[in-house]
Amino acid sequence: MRLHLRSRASRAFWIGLVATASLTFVTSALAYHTHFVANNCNTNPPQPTSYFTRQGSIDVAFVGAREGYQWGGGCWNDNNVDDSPGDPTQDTNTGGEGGDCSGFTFKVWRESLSTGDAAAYQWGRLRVVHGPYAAADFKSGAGAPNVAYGKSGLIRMDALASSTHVGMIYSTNADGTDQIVEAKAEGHGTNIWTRTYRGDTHYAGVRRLGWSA
Amino acid sequence: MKTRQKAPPTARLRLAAGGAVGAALALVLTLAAVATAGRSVTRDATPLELDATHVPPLLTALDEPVHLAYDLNCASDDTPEACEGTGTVYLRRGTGGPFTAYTLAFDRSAPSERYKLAVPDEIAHAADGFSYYAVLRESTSGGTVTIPAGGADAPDTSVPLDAQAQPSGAGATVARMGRAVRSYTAVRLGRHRFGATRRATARVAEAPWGDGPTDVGLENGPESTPIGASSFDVTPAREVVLLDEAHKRLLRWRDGEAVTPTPVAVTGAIADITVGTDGSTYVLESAGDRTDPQPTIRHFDADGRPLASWHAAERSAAAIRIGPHGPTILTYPSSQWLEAADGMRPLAGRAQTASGMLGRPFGDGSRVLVLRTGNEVRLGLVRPNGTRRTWRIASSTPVAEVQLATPYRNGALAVFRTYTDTAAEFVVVKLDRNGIADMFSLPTADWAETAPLSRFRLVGDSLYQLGSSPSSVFVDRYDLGG
Repeated sequence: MRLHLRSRASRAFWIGLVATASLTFVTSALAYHTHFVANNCNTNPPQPTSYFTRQGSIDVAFVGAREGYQWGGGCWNDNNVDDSPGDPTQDTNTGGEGGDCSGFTFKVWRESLSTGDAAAYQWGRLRVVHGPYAAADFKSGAGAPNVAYGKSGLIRMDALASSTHVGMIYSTNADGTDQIVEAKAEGHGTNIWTRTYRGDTHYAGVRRLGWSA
Repeated sequence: MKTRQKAPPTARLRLAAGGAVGAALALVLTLAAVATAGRSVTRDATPLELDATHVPPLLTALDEPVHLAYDLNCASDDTPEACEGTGTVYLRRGTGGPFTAYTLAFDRSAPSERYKLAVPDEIAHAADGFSYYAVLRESTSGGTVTIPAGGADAPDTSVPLDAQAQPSGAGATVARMGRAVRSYTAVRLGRHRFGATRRATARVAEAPWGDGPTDVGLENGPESTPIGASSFDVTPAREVVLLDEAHKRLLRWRDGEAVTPTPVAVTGAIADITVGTDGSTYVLESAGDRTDPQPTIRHFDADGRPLASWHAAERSAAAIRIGPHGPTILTYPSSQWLEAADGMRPLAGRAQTASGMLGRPFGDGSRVLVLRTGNEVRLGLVRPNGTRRTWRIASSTPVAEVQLATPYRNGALAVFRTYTDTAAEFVVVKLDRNGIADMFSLPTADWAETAPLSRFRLVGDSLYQLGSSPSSVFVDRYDLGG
């Protein structure tokens, strides 16, 4: 009887082990990429700064270039690899690397979590934060730091926003296209690409206010 | 009948404890494995990355000063301060002889173009233009970046618009100048009238959005604008080839009739295509594989079998076309067209960047230079014998990108987008020695996003436009007439 109970406890142990391991591995396999944020990112407070330049924001954006894309995300490293490729495209909860277009813009433009605050805040690359704006908010110039701006007058680190996407001007090109730094989509990641958003009627101009230079 | 005996409370406790210990052990092991795996794939240590940007002044007018302006960008978000450095431009008159070094002036307060050089007049307005490259050095790391990447082997060049330019060097004569450089042709377009677009001669290809055998797919989820049928090409035999990257295939139409699609192993990412003279297809993927974001060129035979795959030599690539020796790609930050292959032989790295040149090279050896500056488009057509013809097209309505600029008959044909904050159309101009021989407008038809410079192709006297609506993607043909 004792042996029998011990055997049943032992069997329960192994059943528990196998069942939980299976469940955990299946879950982790289905959502493998959820671990980038869990393993790498933080919630450190941003560093307020009274001096922030377009060049400084270019440098921040360049860190995020060649990294991943995560819908609703806002944390990336600087190894030039998408560390969580292949996440489902319509899931904000996979915890993968990268920002989405509006989260990336928010962080590169060094904005505040408060929409009434136009001051500048340096967020670290590994700080997971999306900010309060969607692409459509940027398009309309919502929030104290942002303003709608005529497209023909846009210069580098101004942005072009549609109701579903926003990207920032990294450089202009001789042929009238722009190099845009943007978190494009899960299948593309975040990078610098030549785009024709400026003449596209889906897109409007938007400017971050308050640059020191 | 066999029944199970209920265990006493202590036994049940042991039973539960055994299961719990097993579950806990499994969880600990799994978490440890996941944490280790997570750490192993998320390296975050790279040397300071540098990048430079520069808009080359390809076509310079005699009555304007010429500046070379650059920005130096660093991957750095550790402090609010931007990185800084120094720079040197190596400059010479014409396209031969030694370069002279000039130091770039640095302006910390400038929002852009922080590194700048006023080109001395005797160089800026030399009869055969000037050539140059720059080296920028970041102060903290000492790292350097050369732009264009080919440096002295493939410098940027600038060509004068005017006939009154000064001869360069003892060998240059006014007579030679007169043959080589004619005065530019000025064109004033005035304010664009939206809504008066030309009707297509014929719709030569159309497919609905969807996942059927001849449908075209859209990339991405709801977080991005619709992206689909990112590029097309038209063969000399007038076969329309459309890249359906979402379904990894080429759709083809002959005489307006769809033929069997050709599967191709692409990864998507807003790719551009060009069809070679042998019927093979080159695909330029702007982002390559997700674990390898370098732009990638893929070559497929006429049946879609992969022949080769290799990287573009620079961080960004915007277009691929067939040049005199094979496929050429427009890349950045150099802004140059690089030879991606020599015939069938892929070129990589230095072999690519050393072949760089400003202006798209065409199969007949001619080259077309394009500079959009403000509301003006400047075009330069350089023939294989060195003769040049230049146009200066001024618009009162803002001009966006020049989609197409190509030799056409005795002049050139250009398609550019004109826009306001609420409207946009394409403008097609046929240019000859007198100015505009013909001009008309086209709707942008850009419901879905494509590769940036993939909306038009010219074959013979027919202009083809890739367009889209919420229901379908299509290719329209516009016959240009005499």
